[in-house]
Amino acid sequence: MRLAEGGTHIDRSRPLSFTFDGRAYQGFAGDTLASALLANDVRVVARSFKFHRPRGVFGVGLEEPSALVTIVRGPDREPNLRATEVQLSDGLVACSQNAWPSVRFDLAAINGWLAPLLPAGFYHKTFKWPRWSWYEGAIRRTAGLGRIAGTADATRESKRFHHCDVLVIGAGAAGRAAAEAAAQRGADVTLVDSGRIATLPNVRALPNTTAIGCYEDRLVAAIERIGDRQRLWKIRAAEIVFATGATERPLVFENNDRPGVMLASAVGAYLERYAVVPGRNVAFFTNNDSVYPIAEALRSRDVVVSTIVDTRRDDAVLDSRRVDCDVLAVSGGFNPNLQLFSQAAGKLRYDEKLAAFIPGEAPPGLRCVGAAAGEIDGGVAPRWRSPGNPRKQWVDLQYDVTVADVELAAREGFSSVEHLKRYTSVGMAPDQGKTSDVNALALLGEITGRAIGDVGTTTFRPPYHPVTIAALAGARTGSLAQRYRRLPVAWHEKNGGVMEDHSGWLRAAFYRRDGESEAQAIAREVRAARFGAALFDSSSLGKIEVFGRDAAEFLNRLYVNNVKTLAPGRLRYGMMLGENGVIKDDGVFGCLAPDHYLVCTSSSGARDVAFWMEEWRQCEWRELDVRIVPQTAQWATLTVSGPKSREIVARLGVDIDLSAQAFPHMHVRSGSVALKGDPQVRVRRASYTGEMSFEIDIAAEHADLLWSRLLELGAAENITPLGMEALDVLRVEKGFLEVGVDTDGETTPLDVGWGEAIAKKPEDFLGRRSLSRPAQQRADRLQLVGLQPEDPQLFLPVGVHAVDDAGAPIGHVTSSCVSPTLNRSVAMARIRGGAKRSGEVIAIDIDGTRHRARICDRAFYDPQGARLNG
Amino acid sequence: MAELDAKRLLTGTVSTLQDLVGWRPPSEPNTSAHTPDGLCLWLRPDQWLLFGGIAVRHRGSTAVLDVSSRWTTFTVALDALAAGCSLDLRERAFAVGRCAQTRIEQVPVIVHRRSADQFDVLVERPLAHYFGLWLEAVGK
Amino acid sequence: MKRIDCPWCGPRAENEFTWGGEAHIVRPGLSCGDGQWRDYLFTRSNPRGAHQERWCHTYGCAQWFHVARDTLTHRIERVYAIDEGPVDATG
Repeated sequence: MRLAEGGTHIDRSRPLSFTFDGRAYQGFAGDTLASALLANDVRVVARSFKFHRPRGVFGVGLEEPSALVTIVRGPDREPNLRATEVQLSDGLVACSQNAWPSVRFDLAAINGWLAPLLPAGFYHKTFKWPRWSWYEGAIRRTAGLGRIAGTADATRESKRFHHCDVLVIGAGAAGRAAAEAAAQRGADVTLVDSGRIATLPNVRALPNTTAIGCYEDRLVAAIERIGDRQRLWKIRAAEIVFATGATERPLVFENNDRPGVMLASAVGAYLERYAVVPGRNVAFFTNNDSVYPIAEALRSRDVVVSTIVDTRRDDAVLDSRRVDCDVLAVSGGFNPNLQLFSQAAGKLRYDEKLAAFIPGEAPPGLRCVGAAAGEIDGGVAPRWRSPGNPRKQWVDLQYDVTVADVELAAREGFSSVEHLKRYTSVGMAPDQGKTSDVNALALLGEITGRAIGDVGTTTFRPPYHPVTIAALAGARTGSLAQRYRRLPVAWHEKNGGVMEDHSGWLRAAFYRRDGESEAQAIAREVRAARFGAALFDSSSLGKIEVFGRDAAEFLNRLYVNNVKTLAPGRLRYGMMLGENGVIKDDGVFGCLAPDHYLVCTSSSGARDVAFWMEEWRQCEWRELDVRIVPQTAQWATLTVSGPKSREIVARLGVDIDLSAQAFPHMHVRSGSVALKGDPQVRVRRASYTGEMSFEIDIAAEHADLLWSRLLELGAAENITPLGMEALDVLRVEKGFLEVGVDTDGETTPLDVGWGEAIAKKPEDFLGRRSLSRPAQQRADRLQLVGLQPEDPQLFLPVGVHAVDDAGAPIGHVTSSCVSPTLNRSVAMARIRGGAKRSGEVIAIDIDGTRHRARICDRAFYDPQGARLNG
Repeated sequence: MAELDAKRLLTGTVSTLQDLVGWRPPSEPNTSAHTPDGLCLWLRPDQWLLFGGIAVRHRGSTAVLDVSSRWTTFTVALDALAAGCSLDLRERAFAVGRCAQTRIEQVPVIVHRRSADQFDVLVERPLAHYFGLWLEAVGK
Repeated sequence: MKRIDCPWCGPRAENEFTWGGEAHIVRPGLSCGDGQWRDYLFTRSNPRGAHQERWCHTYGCAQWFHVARDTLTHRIERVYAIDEGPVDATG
């Protein structure tokens, strides 16, 4: 019912229309959906979670446990909103949830009859024969909250970071006073509140913003409501003042969940803020003084107050009198809102007078003020339950947890408060126990004969109040969800490149041409690399420059290879290990000058290797004169590979002698190229394909131009862009391993045939000592070998196991292809003792069928490497 | 995308670099200086960024490297920066002319304050596209 | 989200840093016994309380430094340079 006058929050000059469950109603600007529904005498707005009991509006703010609604916006719907938090707007479409066919007549109310079968933890006890899954679907459908539409949210609010000296949470009287005082002593103050904030000078106000979490070192997460969207704020403060107030708790008695039973302070707030009275005849049930001023206020507006039942006086009367009313306003006392304080490691202690938890020891930089600090007038005579059926006395309204459930938990030995919570789910609903927590633990204390202070509270964790995933995601959805690194050449995507994620880089898997399948495209690219010329963008290759008098010494300690014997202008393929002897990364390194080296890493290893190098340089080897500069992003790397590669590169106009004698395989040269600006290039003759290759490093800004130029210059030779799939085939044909594919967290260089090479190096290097451990020396370790299936066209899927006669696994396939060059299937595998089993035929298990394959050398194609040395 | 402004990376000590380039880079952490060869930003105790194109060379472990393609520079307003940067951006904590390396939505960046409301944000080229998308999204 | 005081950059969010494990562990030479090498790789003091460890300001100045942190309270007692030796626990 709406009174003719009054209401501090409403603007009667702006009437609004809205619908609830299809019926049209009127309200005013400033109303919440709850106040507008109460103004229109809508008593049943929801059905409870488990038992589908009819429910009405219970509270007035964040604490609302019962009035959960769904707001419909076109094809979109947002479920599980508290009607007390939904700001009324013109044309708002709201509906009830968890009820069918309607909230007034819900078939699932039959669950209430089944209550004896649905106690706490029922899924461990009932509905078990013959099988839980028979019942699960039906039970899940009847229990619950709202439904989502399945549409994508159209708009996003990006988050905000914010710093201040003093953060005051709560803009009530105590919060405002604290903010004002702090501002006056010159502090940078920010004040947040879930509702409105009247301006304060020199204070940054964040209204409609609910603090939801306190994290280490005074970081506070808060959610700002902007229309129907949410924005996440991350606020770092030097000091936090908790002016978070207190929430009224209800009394627990039989049928205390009926529509019309409300928190007394909510009845008072509806009267003052919205000029709304939830009924025409209000009774009060209380154990403290707070209700009397509210009763007075109602009487002064000519509302009938039929009776005030005060547990401190009228104990005997509870059983024997009948009182007619349509609203029963209850007050069991007030709980200071200390969830956030507690998350920030504030300690709580139980206060007998208030029968509530108040702040105890506060960590530095935190304090509580006002009602949150326990500054609440008057005492409370606690009463945690009433006579009558315990199954009909609700402790947690939102999850339908009753006194009977708490008694059951205690009987079954779940007597710690944390067990009580998990067993009964009390306090675990979206309202996070705001009106149920203390009632539940106090009741548990009473049942188990313990002081409430000894029972304690459960651990409070963020979020204090529900937050949408959209708010947490902020702007990072859609094309922003995945952070990809992009190659410097833009040509790929526009010319048939099928782009895929390779270690966080977007790279072409292959280049699709009209009328060809993926397999045909890959085979075409492989043939071009083997017999003509291929072009690929390997710019993601890690490139780290190392300078200094001790550069060679430094690298010599990192690589298993001998670095000091590398002359300027030469390259060497190297391996780095972790200290446990496991292969960390491989790549080519080069000497540019005695005090200048270039380290190339795998694309995925670039950051890790640079980090590893700096760690040793800064922490352990400070005596070395060496500096490391990763330059992966500065240099694009375009590689021309194939028997025709040299003649094509020669047409570029680089001032480098490219002849075989002057520039052999595994050498590096620098010069400039005849492009606009005469940019510098560094050219490496190193090969990942097994064909003669020229890896050209050029400043990334010239990459597009160089790519196009090479395509033009190589047109006569049919130069072909090469994708990742073809690259993989080419390297498998050569038996070149890929770290992380053919190696794992246990593979040492001894397992891939590097034992002899390492023995030649006298000095220590990282991981060396691990290689002499007995376990690393065993002959039956998984060792990398080649495999050729007896059926030459049988593809061996990566990961399939090799098995012995008894069917026990003896290894697995790590890389595999049906080679277009060799016209047969080849693979690499890690096989127990494989190094000494060359020639042996073993069984490969593919989906239960055994196939025979011969162990052989990994270098299937051009094993002598003659094609590299052109 | 803005033009590429950062031209050279200097690595070495303040004194060895003074020998090599003729002036002393700023020694105070996270500050910038206007040198004879352009604006210079402190990145690490032994590394600086120079917005000017001097000769690429090295002497032992002291080096001047070409990084003219390495970063893309974005001009970002304070509000947009606050949408992704966890640094304290109040002027008393991050004065005009100061710089910092940090992360914005998991993208490593170099931030330099040009004015009360304007920042240069340098992003390495491979992530510049992603950063540009993000900037557009928070600008709305 | 902890704040860590980088000796160069000042207080920054912990997600700018990389933890580097226990500090002041001496790397044995090649001739050490298996047990000694095993301890170097895997055995850590894992105390309940005062812990000395290494951190790197990876997304800032990329410098390594030492931190004395209480593993129970997470409180950082002291930040000190990478070339400083172990702090006396009773000091």
